[in-house]
Amino acid sequence: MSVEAASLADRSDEDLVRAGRAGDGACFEELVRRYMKPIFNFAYRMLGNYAEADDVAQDVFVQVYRSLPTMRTDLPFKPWLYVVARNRCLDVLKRKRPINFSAIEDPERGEGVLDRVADPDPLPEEVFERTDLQRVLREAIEKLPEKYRTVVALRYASGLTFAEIGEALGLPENTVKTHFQRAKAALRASLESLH
Amino acid sequence: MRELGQDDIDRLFARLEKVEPPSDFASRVMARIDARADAVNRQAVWRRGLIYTCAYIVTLVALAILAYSAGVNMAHNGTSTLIGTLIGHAEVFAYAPDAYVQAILASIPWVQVAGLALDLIVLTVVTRLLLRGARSFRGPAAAA
Repeated sequence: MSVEAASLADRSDEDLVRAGRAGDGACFEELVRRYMKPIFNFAYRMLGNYAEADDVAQDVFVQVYRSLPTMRTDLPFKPWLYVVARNRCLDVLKRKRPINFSAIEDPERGEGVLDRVADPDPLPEEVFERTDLQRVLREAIEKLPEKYRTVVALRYASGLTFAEIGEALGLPENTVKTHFQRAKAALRASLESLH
Repeated sequence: MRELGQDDIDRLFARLEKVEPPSDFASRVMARIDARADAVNRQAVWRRGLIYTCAYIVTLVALAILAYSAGVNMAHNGTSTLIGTLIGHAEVFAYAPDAYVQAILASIPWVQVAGLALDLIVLTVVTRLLLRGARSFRGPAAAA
């Protein structure tokens, strides 16, 4: 790694944003390199399609670049980046098929089918060893309602903490945890239905 | 706040493979950003060029009107006659130079002359801007 690249890697997101805003392309490229993998994985888990994830992840960074002049530099960059990514994914999903928006917009609503899933027994992982584990996991994620899929993708694919997910989605951390537990119950039900 | 412990689902999804973005992902993003920046720059250059061209035409028209108006006034005030006499009969000037200069100065339509001078300055500035804009629009092609 060159000295210049090393110094860029040491700089904070907000510092790179400020420099990118001032027209420093190398600083913005460092932000792209820093976040391309988690954003790409998030988009891939949300959309379930590699080519679409590629397009969306690119669009996210281009949109972020366009928004730099009006962006508030006193706010953390990472949650904002995921807000853009989530919105972009929802746009694509909206085009693909109608979304039940009440399921997205009402975080405190009871969950019907998910509430009925309460099996605390551990899953026999061995079952999946013999099958295409990745395909099964991917399909289980894709079956989730969008708001749960978002939390699961941010947690499992992008490795965000609950606090960071809360910031990205504009939700309290406890609500995020509740969503995550419900998502896990749905995942469990989905995986159990396979055997 | 209660921390969420790792359970079987967490362990299972910890094995979820991370997909790798295409190797040229970052360079494609930067290329799109550069292309967009180029397009925005070209648009800005176009817009500036249009403004400068309009300003150039307006200044030229103003120059023509002011020049005509100054000429008409000079003819009306006798400035051209006084200057013509000066060229043809220099001895008249030698006879009463002060009076002659006073007469010429009094006959000059100063407002139009000042307007002409100002218009020429603006025309020079606008022409330079227009030429600079044309060079930057041609950009690398002109350099090649």
